[in-house]
Amino acid sequence: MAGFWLLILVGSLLLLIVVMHKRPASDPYLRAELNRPSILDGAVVVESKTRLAMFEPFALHGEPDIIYRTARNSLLVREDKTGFPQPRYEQIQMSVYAAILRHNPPESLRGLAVEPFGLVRYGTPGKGGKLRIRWKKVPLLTDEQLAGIIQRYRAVRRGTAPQLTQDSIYCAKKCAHFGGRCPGA
Amino acid sequence: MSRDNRPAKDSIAATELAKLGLCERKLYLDRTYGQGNDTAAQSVAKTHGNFVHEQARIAALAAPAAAKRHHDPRCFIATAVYGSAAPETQLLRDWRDDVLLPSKAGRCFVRTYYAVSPPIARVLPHVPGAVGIVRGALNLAVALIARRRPE
Repeated sequence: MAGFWLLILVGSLLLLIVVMHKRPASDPYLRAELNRPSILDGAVVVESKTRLAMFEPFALHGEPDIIYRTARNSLLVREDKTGFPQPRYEQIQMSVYAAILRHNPPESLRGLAVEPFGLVRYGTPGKGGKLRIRWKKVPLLTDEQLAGIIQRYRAVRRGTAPQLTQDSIYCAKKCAHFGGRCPGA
Repeated sequence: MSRDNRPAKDSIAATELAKLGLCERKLYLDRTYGQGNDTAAQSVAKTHGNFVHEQARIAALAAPAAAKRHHDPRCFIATAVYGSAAPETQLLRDWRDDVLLPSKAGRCFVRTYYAVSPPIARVLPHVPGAVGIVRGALNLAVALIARRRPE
């Protein structure tokens, strides 16, 4: 008899979980951005699409999508992406922005620490045409690692280094050389 | 050292440097032969992508500062046991963000937790001994997470 009631209880719990999953969330947090990282709680946008540049130890520039000043008084880089993820590209891009913020920040942001990671917000079409939002925390490169990348970049552009193909999906979707039939893909 | 934002002559753009992470061959070919023309489909995708991208940026600018610090209302049970501002609660939030949310199974677990935990959190203080038992279980989880967490 006890076993019967235990079965009823477990079954009801499972049914409850399934029903809860199916109904739309009542919490506005959940509706808006269910999985927004908690680091953004209390964060304010301080820069967006502002041209930033640095000159030493290397010359780099760019326009980050969003720079937050977090509740713990640090700067955080965010990039919005709408296509398929390109982890290495995103990491290098945000590392450049973070390096600029460390070495030559805008006047109003001087003296603030820069977080060693960035956030990528992916907005991709999901089922039924809804926009599916996902966040990803990306560890950023140090100045030493960036220096190595810049060296490689220059060598590849000059043609003095063998060129590696990193992402064959990118080749098929984005590359205009060889009509998408690059032998390196 | 100049402090303005005009790039130096040999300055590299962030998006240009980042292409190293995509295809080095394309990087070399772009310099040698030019970037080439997008196909019609690529042009359409690019236009749509730029539009959605700009919408996301505008939404981020328009959004008010998110919930006050230490007031993430979603960590119901941890908040009931430790309090909203406790370091244990923040550790669990960080673990949620770093470990659970990046995976599909993790997101499913988080959705289930958000669905069932509010009523549990409300009942917890009224059941004798329940807070102690749950705290013990959470202490174990927090200790395991803290041990594995890289500093």
